[in-house]
Amino acid sequence: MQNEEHIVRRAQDGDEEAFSMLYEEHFDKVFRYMALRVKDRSEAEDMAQQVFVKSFEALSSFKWKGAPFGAWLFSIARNLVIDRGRKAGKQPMTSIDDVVILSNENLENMVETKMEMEKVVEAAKRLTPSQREVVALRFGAEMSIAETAKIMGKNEGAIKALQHSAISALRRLLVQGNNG
Amino acid sequence: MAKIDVLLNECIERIRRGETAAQCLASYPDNAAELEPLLKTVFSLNSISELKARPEFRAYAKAQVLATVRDKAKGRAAKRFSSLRWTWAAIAVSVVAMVSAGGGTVLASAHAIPGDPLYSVKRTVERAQLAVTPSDVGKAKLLANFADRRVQEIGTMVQEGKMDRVDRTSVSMAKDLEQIGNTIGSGRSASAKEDKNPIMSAATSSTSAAAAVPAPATDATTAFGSEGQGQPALTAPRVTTMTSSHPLASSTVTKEQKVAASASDKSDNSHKNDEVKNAQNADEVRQALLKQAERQKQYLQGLLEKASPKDKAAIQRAIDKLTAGYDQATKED
Repeated sequence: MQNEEHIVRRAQDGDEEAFSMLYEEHFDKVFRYMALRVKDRSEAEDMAQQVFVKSFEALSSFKWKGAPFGAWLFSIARNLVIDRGRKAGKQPMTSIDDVVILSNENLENMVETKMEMEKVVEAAKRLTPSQREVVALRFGAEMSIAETAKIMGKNEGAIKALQHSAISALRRLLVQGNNG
Repeated sequence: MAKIDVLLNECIERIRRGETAAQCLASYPDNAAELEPLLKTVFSLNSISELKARPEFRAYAKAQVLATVRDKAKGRAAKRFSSLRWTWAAIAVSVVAMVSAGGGTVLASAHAIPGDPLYSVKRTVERAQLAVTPSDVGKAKLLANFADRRVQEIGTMVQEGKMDRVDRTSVSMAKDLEQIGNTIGSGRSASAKEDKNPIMSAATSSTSAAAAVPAPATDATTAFGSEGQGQPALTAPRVTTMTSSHPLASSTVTKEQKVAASASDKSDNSHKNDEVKNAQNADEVRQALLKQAERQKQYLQGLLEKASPKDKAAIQRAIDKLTAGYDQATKED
């Protein structure tokens, strides 16, 4: 993407093309984050849309202080999930049957990918909230350690430790799942 | 900070840049045994990158979000709505406008089944209706209507031999019924008891108009324009009736009923369930649901009896999900 700061400033000036570029750049990641955090596909899509509505409405309040726009966007996303409260946290997450896989691979690979995703999404349900959050941000939203730390309000060392514990826990759950 | 935390993160970043696990492990031979199983999990996690929203939703949401931007720039609209659900209210208003202007797409989508090009439009309209319905009883009635449509879709798919999506539709039906339980039944949360975000009267009136949307197009050429005028050659809409000759009102479907059901019909063709429609409170909705459940079970049983052996399992699963779903939907506090 072009210099994001420049695009954000254009968007803040009301440039619709700039808004469009920000949407295209970030939508997939926002959706993936929501898919790992909320109940089902419909809710993930709804929530993803709300993230952009909220962020674009509040764009004038965003101050470019070196932190990337994505980190601010996912702070909004995270707060929306928190606002949803217990319903978002404890409800089953995205039903894999609702998920679209866009792939140019052949059918067999698509089925394998879907099965792999299903196992991961199921296992992720059983992580602690903080572990699930770090997984959603690092692997769903593809945030860097620095961005994840800023969003979660922790230092980078703490995020790396949390990431390690999440992946270890996920591995144990996946192995248990494979052993039946 | 434990060294393994740092090394694991380093490997995650290197894999993200395109390196292999073997390359990472070669860099840290003393920690390879501990890192290897973790990196296998990292690759499993990376499969999440294949998760995507529906392309049509992505495009539609973009249009709605940019409309917000335009409205804000003109100093209008966004502040009129007190709820983040304004986008769905806007959709409902758009649906009414399309219906009023004789738009054929929404009408034509009314009898779409999974796999049809307009099915996503049908489902989007349903979500819009739900979003702009403020009361729990209203939502429950809508959801009962949607569950009814899912049963009809299953029936159509069975009759047309399109069994590949019956299971998915059964799951959607079960979800609609489960959600009824969450709105008026024992499963509802405190926040679901009342809608705290009143919707504008325009949106409220659009609900009843939008609820009438499912009335099917009675003439394929009206819905799609005649071929040769640049219109895509879409599947002609299925025109079914909800009169006493409709399959849902009878457990057996005669040849004459099938012919009548497939012919254009200018009488009331909406998929209304009068009992549910006339219910005034949660108790009446539950009573109406019990009758609806019985009628739909009989319908699906009729399909099961006539189905070929290879199709029976999917229909039986639909019946099982229907039974479980209605049990949940009609459970009181």
